[in-house]
Amino acid sequence: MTRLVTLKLIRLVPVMFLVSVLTFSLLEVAPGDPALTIMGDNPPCPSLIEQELVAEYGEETDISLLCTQAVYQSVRERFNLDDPIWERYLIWLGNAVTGDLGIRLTNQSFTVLEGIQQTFPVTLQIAIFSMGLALLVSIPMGVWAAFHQGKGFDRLSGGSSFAIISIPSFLIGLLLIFFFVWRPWMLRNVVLIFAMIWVAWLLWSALKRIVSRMVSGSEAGAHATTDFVLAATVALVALGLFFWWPDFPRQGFSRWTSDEGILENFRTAFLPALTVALTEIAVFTRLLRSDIIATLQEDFILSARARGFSNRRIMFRHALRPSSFSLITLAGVAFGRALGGTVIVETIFRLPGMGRFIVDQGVRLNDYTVVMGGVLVLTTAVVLLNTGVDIAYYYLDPRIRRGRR
Amino acid sequence: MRIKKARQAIENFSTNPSVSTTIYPMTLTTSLDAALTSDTSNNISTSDMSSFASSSSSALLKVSDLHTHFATDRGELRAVDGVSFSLDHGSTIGIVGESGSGKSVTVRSIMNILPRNVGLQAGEVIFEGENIQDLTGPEAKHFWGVKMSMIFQDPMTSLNPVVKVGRQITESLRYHLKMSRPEASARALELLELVGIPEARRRLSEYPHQLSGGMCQRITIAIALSCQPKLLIADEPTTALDVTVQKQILDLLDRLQIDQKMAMILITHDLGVVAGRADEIAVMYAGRIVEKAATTDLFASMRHPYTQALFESIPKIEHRSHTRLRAISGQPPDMTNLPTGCSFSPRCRYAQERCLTEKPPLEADPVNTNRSYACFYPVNTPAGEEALSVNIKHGKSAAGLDMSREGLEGVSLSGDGIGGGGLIDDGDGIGGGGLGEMADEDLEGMDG
Repeated sequence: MTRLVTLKLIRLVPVMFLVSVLTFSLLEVAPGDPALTIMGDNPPCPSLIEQELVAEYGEETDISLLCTQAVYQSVRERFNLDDPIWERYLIWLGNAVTGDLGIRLTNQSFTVLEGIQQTFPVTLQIAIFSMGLALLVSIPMGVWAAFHQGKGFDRLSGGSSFAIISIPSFLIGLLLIFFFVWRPWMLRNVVLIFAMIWVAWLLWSALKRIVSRMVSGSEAGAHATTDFVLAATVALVALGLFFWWPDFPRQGFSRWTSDEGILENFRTAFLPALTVALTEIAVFTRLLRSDIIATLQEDFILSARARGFSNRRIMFRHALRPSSFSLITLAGVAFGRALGGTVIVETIFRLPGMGRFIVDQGVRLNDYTVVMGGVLVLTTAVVLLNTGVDIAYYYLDPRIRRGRR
Repeated sequence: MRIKKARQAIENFSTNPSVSTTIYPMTLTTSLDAALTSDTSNNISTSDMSSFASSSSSALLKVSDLHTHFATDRGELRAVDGVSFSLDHGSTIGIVGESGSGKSVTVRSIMNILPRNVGLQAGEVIFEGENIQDLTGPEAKHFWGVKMSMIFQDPMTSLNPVVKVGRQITESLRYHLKMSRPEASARALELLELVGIPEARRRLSEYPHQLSGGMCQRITIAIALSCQPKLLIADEPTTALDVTVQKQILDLLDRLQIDQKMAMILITHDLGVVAGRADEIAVMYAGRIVEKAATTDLFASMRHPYTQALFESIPKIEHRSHTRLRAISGQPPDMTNLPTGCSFSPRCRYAQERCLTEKPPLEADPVNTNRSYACFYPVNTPAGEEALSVNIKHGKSAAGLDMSREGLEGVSLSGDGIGGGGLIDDGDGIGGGGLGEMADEDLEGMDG
């Protein structure tokens, strides 16, 4: 086990090296000049340079252009921008290895590490929330759809999944803002109506069960009780939501360490997380559904049925685990994507996340230390995630535990 | 490959100590009779001969007029179309037939594990005097897998690949018998020893992929036996196994059946498997039982042409090498579109006009009421002999089957073009481990 983890972690090194080399070269060929950003539009002419220029050209000459050029040169020298690319890379690498990601070129009062420390937790939290939400919703939905394959719920979830997958995520974000922020009463009523229909259906089926039990003469069973309990829960949740419908902010983010507390943090994180999660819910549900359907065809499911186990037991104890391999893989990939690709969501909801940090502060301004530092952190996170997925495999599927015994 | 398997199966059959090696003479009726009598006599001592009377009131299991139909795209598929049999405590019935003949669906109906697209299910299954369809509540919850259990064809796939062997055994014990964890593991260990697994304690913590096929089948047997069932259903328990292992598993089942006083339904497409082991044999074709008799009676003289054809398609040791097998001509029937008359008539050498229009009912033999068959012109009866000679004279049967292509003595025919349906030329059609792999898709495909 330790060996496995160590091996995976060792694998991290070449991956990160390659990614950093590629990113660095890409930044080099990208248009733009960090020195220009550092200088700003109308750089003041430092008196030292001014004196030198005056001494050289005399009082009469307009030295402003010459001064700008001189400042530009000094900036490039100061940040070693004229050194060959490999030299700059090696210097950066040497510092990065010791944990020093450098200062931000365009905002020299801050280091890159500080920027990452401020923004990464936000991105990480949104990613964790959205993945948790996606798994929490999609696993029951996938199981239910697979179990009632071809029935109403399965077809409904299939259809809506494809609809959701085909909507781009920025549009999902805008739609969510529209309904949750501008038209909350619509959602509130829709939820209430659906819940009431559900409750009515549950009560009706419970009633049918009781009547049929009474007719056939055997004891009234536990099934009706579960229906009643479920119906009561649904009704309570729906009513609670109706009367205390949470009001979500259009934008902004409150850290959970801030004074407003953790509830405020949840409230601000919900819509961005839902935006990321919706697509994943759709994908995960369809994936898990089809994997479970495939597993249910297996002989060991048939033999479990022949052993007299209940459907629920077969589904959760026998079918779910062998069906979860591709879901785990995809969830790992999706998590990585959520970490690195939330820039759109962060922009829509104005979150101080790392995607925006890298794009707005790094790429746009040609600030290579910001981009390099951000990419390094993201790469590490993604590789660690994949290691986590591999370890999860190890536990889920004994067949891959080769070379251990 | 299949031929080899077939030879092995026959050898397997003949190595059974009480059966002489000359069990497959050209005329079946004599020495086989003797061989099988001597064989079954020691087997049957454990069970009651009177069990063959199908109307026995003490029967453990009584299946009457079982129908299982499936709704398919091509129409209604009558996988089981009126099957009746009964089984006494401790006795064995062998159900024999090609793939797609409905034998698996029959037992799956009894085990209540049919796929969901089952269209119609009718008939009665009475177990210990109780109709299993009427079971409710905890009685139903702890019936299948407890009173009757089942083992399947492929042991490698019928165990959950991600669960340790020990937990797969204890799951039944804990779920059905409400044993505590230590009790269950102690019992699991006992069970593994019972089915002859060496180093049982170590095996408990292993996964199925770490075990061989034979070992896995022993474990599925251990699981099936865990709640001490009164009836064990073995659905082709040896088909997926190596031949040497086949015999071990069959012998194990024999021993356990006697030890545990279980009744057994043994499904196979290999007459060699059931010959020495079943008290009674039911031959199925196209969803119906076409012949049912005590094993001794059946092998002494067959009545249904299909049974005869099945038997003749087994390669025999005393045949010269390169002898052509007498596979059953024609194709297995399209189960969604069965002939109006007897389902076997298009392939039958005895078929007459009547067979094409009328379905023969399964009726008891007028002489020996313990056997029954569904044929108007039974083999080894005057009516049958006459039908056959009429067909030979015409050169073809009433259904148009070409009789000239396979003469009665045509065992050593060689050359191409033999066999009406071309199955003879088809390596797969040669019944070895199986008398017919021909229509696998028909039923197997539907189980989804």
